[in-house]
Amino acid sequence: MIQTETNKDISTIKEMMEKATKFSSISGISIIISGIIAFIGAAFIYFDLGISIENGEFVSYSQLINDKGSQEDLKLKMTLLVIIGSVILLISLFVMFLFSRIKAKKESVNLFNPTFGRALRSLFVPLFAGGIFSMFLIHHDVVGLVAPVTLIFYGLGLISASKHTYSELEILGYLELVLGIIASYFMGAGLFFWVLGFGISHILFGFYIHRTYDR
Amino acid sequence: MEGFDQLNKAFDSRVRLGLMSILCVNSWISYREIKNLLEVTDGNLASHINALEKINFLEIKKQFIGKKPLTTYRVTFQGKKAFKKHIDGLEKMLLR
Repeated sequence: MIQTETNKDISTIKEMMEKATKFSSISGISIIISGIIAFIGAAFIYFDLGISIENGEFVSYSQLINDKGSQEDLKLKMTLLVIIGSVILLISLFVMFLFSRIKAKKESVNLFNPTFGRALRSLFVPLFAGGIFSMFLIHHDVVGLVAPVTLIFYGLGLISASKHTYSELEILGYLELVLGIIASYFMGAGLFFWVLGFGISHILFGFYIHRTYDR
Repeated sequence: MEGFDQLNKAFDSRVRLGLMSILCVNSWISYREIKNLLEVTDGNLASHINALEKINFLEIKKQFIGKKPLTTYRVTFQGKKAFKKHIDGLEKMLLR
């Protein structure tokens, strides 16, 4: 009798400590915004990649990836792709940080608590590795795999970060992972999967987080 | 029973155990957050908070964010020490 009561006590303590140490300051709206930014970025890449600068000939993203444009063109566009991708990432992170700060303040929790650090680290270790790997892919001219690889590593980052924040993040992580793997097969359609993974999934997921946690 | 004498009467209720657990892993934490975590009623939570404050296990800070009042809580040194002793007691009872 006493044993079971004591066990219940201990599990209460454990549960509360765990719950109270999860990072919960991500705002749903900021996830939606990052999805929209990804959309705009993808549109940028798509439309700009659609026009070859050298001779005005129409060359699409997938044609470029499959070696149907001039090599210089491809290099130029890849540089553009990397720059746009990095800008999207930076703006998204900045927006998320800003909104998290506002949310933390509203709920009067300290944003820079240990859970924040843990969630951030578990997200960024895979993301950073994926970033470097993508650079080498470009270096070795395997540009078609860059979009799938970013999706895969981002998915892995989300799965590992989900233990320190909303557990639903794990589902989003697996989704990105699966999209990335499918995209690796359909090389050249990377941009489409990119829009699915970073654009549409974020917007939907952001709505879900906003509805369940932010109100 | 071994460990039994280490238990603190102040932590008899499970709400208080939860409350202390939350406070121990946070610095200042707001009333609303505690209530959301514990899923208890206002009256219930308030009475437990008062009881723990009376014996100096937690401290209360009242401030204003704009026009809204905001109450936050933090565990005191005594509170943390007593809670640790209580948990040790529980563990000893289980390990017997």
